[in-house]
Amino acid sequence: MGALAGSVTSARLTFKVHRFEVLAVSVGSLIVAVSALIVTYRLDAVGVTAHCLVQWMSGGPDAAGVCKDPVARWAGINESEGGKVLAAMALLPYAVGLFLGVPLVGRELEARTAAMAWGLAGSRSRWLLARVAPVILLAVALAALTALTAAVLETTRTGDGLWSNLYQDAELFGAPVVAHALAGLGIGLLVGAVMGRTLPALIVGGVAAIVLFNVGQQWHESFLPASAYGNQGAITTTSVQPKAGPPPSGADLADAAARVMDPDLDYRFQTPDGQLLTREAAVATVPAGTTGVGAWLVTHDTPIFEGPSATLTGAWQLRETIAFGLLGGLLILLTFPVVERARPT
Amino acid sequence: MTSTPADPALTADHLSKRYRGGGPLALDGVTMTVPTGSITAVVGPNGAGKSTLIRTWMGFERPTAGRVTVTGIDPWRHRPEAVARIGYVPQAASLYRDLTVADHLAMAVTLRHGFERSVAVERLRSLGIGPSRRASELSGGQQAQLGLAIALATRAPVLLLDEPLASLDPLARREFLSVLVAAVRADGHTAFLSSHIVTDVEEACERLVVLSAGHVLLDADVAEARAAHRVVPVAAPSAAPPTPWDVAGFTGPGDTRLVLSRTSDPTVGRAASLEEIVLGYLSSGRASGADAAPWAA
Repeated sequence: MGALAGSVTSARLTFKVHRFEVLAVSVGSLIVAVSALIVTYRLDAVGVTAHCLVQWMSGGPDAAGVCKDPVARWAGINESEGGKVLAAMALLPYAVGLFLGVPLVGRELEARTAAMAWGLAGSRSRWLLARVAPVILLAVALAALTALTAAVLETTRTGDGLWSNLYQDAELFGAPVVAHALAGLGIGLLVGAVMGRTLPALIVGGVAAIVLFNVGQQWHESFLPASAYGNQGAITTTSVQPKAGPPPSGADLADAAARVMDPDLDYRFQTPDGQLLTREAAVATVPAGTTGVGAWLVTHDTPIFEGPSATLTGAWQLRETIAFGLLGGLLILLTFPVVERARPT
Repeated sequence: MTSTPADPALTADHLSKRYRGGGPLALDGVTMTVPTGSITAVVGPNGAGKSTLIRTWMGFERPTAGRVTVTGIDPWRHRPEAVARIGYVPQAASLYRDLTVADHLAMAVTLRHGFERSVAVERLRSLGIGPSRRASELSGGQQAQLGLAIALATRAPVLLLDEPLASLDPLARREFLSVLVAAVRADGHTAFLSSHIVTDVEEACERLVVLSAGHVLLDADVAEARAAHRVVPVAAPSAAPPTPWDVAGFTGPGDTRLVLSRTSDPTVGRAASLEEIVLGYLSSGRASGADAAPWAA
């Protein structure tokens, strides 16, 4: 049998032996992906204008009274449905990795089929490689599907890029998602091989994955102040001017300046000479005796949203991808000597 | 690491195995040689160490002390090379329940270089085991036959069978053994199988090893063992004083009290069956805590 044909046969049999897990994670990933697309469609279907979104974000009054209802509907869908789907998407890659990884060796030991397989296989490492490789490909494919649909949803949730808070959800997009799946797979594979029991290994692996998830969250949050706010070059200056529709009124923007946005997104004023001022500093530049401070500010300065730049988001994603990918790879590699020493009972 | 034709099929040299520190020895100083081309059965009660011995030859267990070889190869140090010389039938159900017979053979092809699928297919076809049947749909006897067919199709010179008869009915046991013996005779393999059931292996095997509490109590040619042992009925355990050639007393059919003696003297008692020989040695092992192995060859 040729190497390719042998690999295909191994993959087919691996998926057949573990078809419950393969089916479960595939269906689960598809459901979440379709849910994300449905929520995206529902958000788009509201037809809320960019102007209304800016007004909502800046907390300004709805002078014309045309934004209240669509924004309320949009925000309702965004928070309840979009938030839940994205929360599921944050955990899904770990779950996919765990469910695929745990039984790969764990069930072979539990069901005693390892005795037959290892009694035939000259090299247990080759045996493991032949089983892990197709499962890694499946986990990567499912994680990529999650990452892509999450990106579609997040783009809509941020008003088609009207404001940039991508850093906040950076772990939901692109390569980090795949790395999370690899980390979950590595945890599941190793714990399953060490414990040799599927259910206990799933529980222990699940706890380990939750700990890892939280460590990642903490790292994510602690990374920003150190590398972003200490470095002006890492701060983006996204104009609040909407891409389409009428510009927000000066009063809207002035009121928005007093509002504290989320921790990763702030609101500043840029002076004509290019200085970036906080609300307090900008107010201090207003001539004494001026009535309508907010109106003066938006007339003379450029209100901007301020947050981590796309470069910083990319830098974080790269770090997270490398860290979690390496961790997953290391755990997968550690499984090989465990399997070599394991007792096939 | 290389083996030569002169190497015995299997050896154990003062092999001891302890699973946990401070725990009892599963094998205690076992020394034996299994000649090439022989069919050997190891019998003994549960916990005697039969499976541990086979699994040590498979490279699944690391010896606590001593050494084992498979055609001259140390399976712990050179497992891939040793496993490549073994066709293994594991204890109980080691088949993938949801895979078909054909899937098992396809898997074996991917795992074992030189696996002859056609040999297995032909053997299974002759037994009426179709390729599309799932392992979970097969009877115990058919599952055992599938395991044996896979082991035989490896064309390995050594076959290790761990309790292959345990879950089989008498007819299936007979069928299994007849297939095994025919294949071994035809291909010149060496077979080593463990069993609880002495009567079944009696006709199939030419060598017998009695193992109890990790000790070898008897390691002998079956014909020689039969010729060298007699049983003597006694009225009660204390009715006759033990002689130096007495192995042990044991209870025979109908609560008769028998003593196994290592003698070929036809005037002593009657010829011992293989089962009586095994019972006698197991009783001796129990009485002595398996410290003594007085008649081990």
